[in-house]
Amino acid sequence: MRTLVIIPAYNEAENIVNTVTTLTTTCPFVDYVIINDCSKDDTAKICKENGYNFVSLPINLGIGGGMQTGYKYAMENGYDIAIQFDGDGQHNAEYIKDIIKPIEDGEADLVIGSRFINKEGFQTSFMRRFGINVLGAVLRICGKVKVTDATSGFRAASRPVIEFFSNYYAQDYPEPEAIIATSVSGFRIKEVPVVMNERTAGVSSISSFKSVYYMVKVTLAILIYKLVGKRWR
Amino acid sequence: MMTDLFRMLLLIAVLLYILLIGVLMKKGRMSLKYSLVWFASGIVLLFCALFPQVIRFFTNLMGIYSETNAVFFIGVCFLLIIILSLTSIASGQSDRIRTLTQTQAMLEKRIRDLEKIVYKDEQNKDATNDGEK
Repeated sequence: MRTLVIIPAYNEAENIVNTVTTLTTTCPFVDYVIINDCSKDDTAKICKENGYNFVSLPINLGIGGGMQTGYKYAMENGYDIAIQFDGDGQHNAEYIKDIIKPIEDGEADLVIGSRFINKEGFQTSFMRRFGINVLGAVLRICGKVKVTDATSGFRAASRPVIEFFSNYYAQDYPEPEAIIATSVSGFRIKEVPVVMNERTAGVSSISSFKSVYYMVKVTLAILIYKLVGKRWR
Repeated sequence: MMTDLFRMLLLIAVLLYILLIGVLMKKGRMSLKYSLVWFASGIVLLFCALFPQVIRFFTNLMGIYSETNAVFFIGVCFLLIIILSLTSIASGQSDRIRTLTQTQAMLEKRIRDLEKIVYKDEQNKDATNDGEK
């Protein structure tokens, strides 16, 4: 199956070469595309100089809009599987084959790489883990999906999910919302254990300062999604 | 009870307001689609200033003490509707801008890739031409 790795990059000049090199040596069987979300540093220049395959957004759309660009690219170029893979060195390319296996076997439509199944590798702070557990509970109650790592950005999507995401993708804090959206729309979601690294440089899109706001907003979004139904956007 | 002074003030303010909307539309700074709700609010307030007996009727109907309050209430209702419509317009536009940005970025990538192919072809052509010489 043709597989595309989507690497969203916002000010990842320090990491991007490392990420792409590791990815192409570990997984030579996949294609990749970097989505440069109007970075203010030299990300675009580095991509150009190294001859990387990249799409450069003219204005900053945020993680949701950037990721959706990747799904649209996968859609247009006829890929069967799309993988979300962070450009900051947090995700481990060795697990790409694990994460696409359930799709290749036809067991799932959306596969999420979870840090918390085998509890190996970088586990994030206690408070963040608490937040992720709360989100997991909300998703279990509202969406009837069992997810241990709702904020994980390491995911693989099958062709039908690629089509779904290229038409609709949550914009602000998309990871948990994407779970409820796909679950409500009847896609099968599966989690596989992965090991993540602590990010080598750059900052998380979720700062601790905003985390309370994040929790309230995402929970509300999930509830509204549940109430209004699957065509809500 | 609306005093005559308040009615006069209201009348002048509303007329200025409608004039302003007209000027904005004439200059092309406000599209017809969005001006309708503003015009409607102006006309209702104008009606209130010209025919206080109508507003008196509605004031009694809604159980409001003073007609002035009823006029304010109507004004606030219009403001809420207008703000709500603005939020909806802004959301729609951000959706469109996002789609436009994504399409533009992917087109830019396609052009870049095509340029690479064309450049390579030209180099090949040059190479074969040189060989023929």
